Amino acid sequence: MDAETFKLLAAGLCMGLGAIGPAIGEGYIGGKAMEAMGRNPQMADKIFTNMIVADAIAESTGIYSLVVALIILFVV
Amino acid sequence: MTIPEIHVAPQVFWTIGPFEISPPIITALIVSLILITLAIIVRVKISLIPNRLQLIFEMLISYFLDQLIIATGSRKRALKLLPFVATIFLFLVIANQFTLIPFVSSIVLGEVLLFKVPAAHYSLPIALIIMGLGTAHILAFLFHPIRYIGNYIKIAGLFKARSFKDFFMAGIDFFLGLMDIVGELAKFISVSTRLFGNLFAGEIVVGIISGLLFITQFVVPIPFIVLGILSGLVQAFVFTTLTMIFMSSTLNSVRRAEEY
Repeated sequence: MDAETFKLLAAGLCMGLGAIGPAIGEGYIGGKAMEAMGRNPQMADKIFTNMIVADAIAESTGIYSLVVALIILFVV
Repeated sequence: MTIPEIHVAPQVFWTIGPFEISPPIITALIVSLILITLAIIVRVKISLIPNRLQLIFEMLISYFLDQLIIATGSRKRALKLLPFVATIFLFLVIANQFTLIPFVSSIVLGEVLLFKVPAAHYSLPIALIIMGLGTAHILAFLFHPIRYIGNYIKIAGLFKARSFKDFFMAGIDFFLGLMDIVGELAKFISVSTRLFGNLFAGEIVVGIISGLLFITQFVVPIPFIVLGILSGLVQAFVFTTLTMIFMSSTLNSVRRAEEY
């Protein structure tokens, strides 16, 4: 295999493995938020905005791996 | 298969002095113009009985004011940060959805699209976050220089230590303070990269899906475009919220507890 092949393989692996963590985290946050909304529907709006922010923070490692994949593909 | 070429760096049309005029800059300028006209319209038509436009803006402003009061701890300081934070939010909301206006995304200058989502290029997010957090750091430094530096270089504990155990704990504190410097720098990168990554990925996904086959140009990209709209709105909100929280935590870090 030459360097170009390794680059594509590395970018794919980086994105795929990097997506596992955020997926678990966001699923957990979403599940807990649903639970809380079901228990206390009056608070649903507040919980929803907080859930979105928490989701975005849980997502950051996924975004990092996306950036690394982009660097591997286009810059290196 | 005609997958469009993907450019991380924007293509430059022409250069004026040291400034390179590229699609994101043109779009950002036009979005600023839209914001200014909106502001003038709302300001001229302001009345005690609000119309719909005024209601929307009042709702947004009171929401961010409430959030800022929670984050900074006082109404006075919240009112100082409000114009900056609310402007970032309005700018990002309009800028992220700008290419959805019909025909805007098919205007071509030379071979290059004239309008592109400005936040899908890394320059805009990093500029916004440097403006926000940089201002907060400079203000905190000017407000109380010694306490600001003391937050990161915790050398005072080393002199106050009376026993070996105290000295050990102070040493750990000192190194944790040095780690905080890295943490502060990481905030700049993580907040801006989040905005950039989401919008850039949205653009690429739509591009790849529509370039995949001849048939997939027509109906198939629609769900991905809808997802892009959603993530544009959410990321504008998240970027604003995080900037707000980090700015107020930096500013609050130089205040003593009794000043609240």
